[in-house]
Amino acid sequence: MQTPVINIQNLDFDYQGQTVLHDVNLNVHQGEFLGMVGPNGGGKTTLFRLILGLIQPRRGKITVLNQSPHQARRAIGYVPQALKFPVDFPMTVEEAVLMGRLGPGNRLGFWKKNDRTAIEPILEETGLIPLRKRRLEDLSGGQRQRVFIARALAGNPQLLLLDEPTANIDVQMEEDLFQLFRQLNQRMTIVVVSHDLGFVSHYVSRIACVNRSLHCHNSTQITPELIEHMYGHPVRVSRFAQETA
Amino acid sequence: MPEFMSSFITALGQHSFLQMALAAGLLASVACGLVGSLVVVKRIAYLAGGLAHMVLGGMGVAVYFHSDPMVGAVISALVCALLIAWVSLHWQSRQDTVISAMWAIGMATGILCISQTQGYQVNLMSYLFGNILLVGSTQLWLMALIDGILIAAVLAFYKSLEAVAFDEEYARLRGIPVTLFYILLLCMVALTVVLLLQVVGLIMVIALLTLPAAIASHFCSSLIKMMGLATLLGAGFTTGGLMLSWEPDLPAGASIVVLAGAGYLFALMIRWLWQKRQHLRLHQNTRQDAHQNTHHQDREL
Repeated sequence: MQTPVINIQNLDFDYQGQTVLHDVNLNVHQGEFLGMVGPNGGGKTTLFRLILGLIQPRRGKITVLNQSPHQARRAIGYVPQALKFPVDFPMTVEEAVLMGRLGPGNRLGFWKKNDRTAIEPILEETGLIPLRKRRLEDLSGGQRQRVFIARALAGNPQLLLLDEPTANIDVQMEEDLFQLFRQLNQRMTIVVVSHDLGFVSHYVSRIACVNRSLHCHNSTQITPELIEHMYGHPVRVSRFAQETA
Repeated sequence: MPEFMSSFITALGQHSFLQMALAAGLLASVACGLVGSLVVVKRIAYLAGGLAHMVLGGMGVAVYFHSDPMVGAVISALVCALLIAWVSLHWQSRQDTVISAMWAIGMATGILCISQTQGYQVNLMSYLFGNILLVGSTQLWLMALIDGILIAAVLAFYKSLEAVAFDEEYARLRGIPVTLFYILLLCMVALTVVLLLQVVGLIMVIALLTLPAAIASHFCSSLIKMMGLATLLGAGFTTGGLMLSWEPDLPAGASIVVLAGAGYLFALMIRWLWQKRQHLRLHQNTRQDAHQNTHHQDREL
């Protein structure tokens, strides 16, 4: 059998004496599109940071593409949560995307012509060609999100990690983005964190609920069991929800 | 040509100290433009302020031991840069408190040392408020050397510096030695502080380090353009300040900073008006869109 793209075994992670993740096991296989859901503070972003090797687990083992997370970093495309960027940074779309081409062999001087040609197909694919000379400040939330996805793609990743790519984006934009992910999924493995379980379940092949522990659901049907795992306790579906459904 | 301008230009032909002052202002604005832009986008103006005051401590110690204050300034600036880097990397939660403490202690040390040295009053004033009219040729050469180092650093590491300033975590993930670049950045700030001390003095270093870059940030689409525009603005403010101060015999450093401050307010106003216009246009566009949509729906019905 093929080795999984992400392999996590018996992982524990503590932060300031509090257990954030406990006994997490996860295998993500080549070509999968995994959706990760769970409450705020449930450990989704922490799990991403562990997979990227930015933090170390207290116990357990992670391998990514058969290497340590630190070694595998350059093959991972990471799209962090959008809120943390200084939007007033003087930078065009093109320059931001070029940043994805940084690497140990590419960090001196200015961007060269071959860097600019290399990102051309990515700008095309993400629909950023007409916006390439715009400042980040002058973009909408959805357009900015596309820039950070393009930046991740510029590094030629085998694995794409997206942290809440659709937060603060309108529904139409969200749908467009997921169409793009579906297209990208044909050539790379994708893990996406989302707050919107109902929406994400239409697109992904498997759902993982992260709430201190991790439970996978192979079916993408929303079952009471899944919802219970997601919130950590049984949820009574209200009359209102039933009526609108 | 206004009278203050023509009298400045006549004086410029007559006095070599005025030519040197002008050259000092121009050399300072290069450092302002390059490093000030990085300070503004990385939001480390407060660290730069701490650094400037700590440098006074180093200069004071150098004066006390009768060595060259510039040498003392350069050495202490680099030591302080490393100290600040260490604090901000390992003591993040209390960073502002620790920097404030170092800020005050550095300045107090400098004042104590200078006060115990003969002829201190002249020195102290020129360190605090600068005296661009007393700049000598050795200082000019040193400033040119520091400018050269800063330009070389920016040219060599431009895209890495840009990435570290924009998104440290991502830069780290792409294999950029972020800590090393952060230390390099602080050392660049330290050298700039030493250079600017000559022109406007300690109190006003921060103004010249941040104001031209802050103005430029509103009107540029890349960091390198921001550096260029900030350099030009810095050159304009130092030259303009010098010019304004010449005839009425005002302190040159303070004139430069007041001019830069006025420029900043003016830029904010322009920006505000421009944004208001953009907003209005956007609003009109959406109204037009909505109008067209209703037409469209009418036809469908």
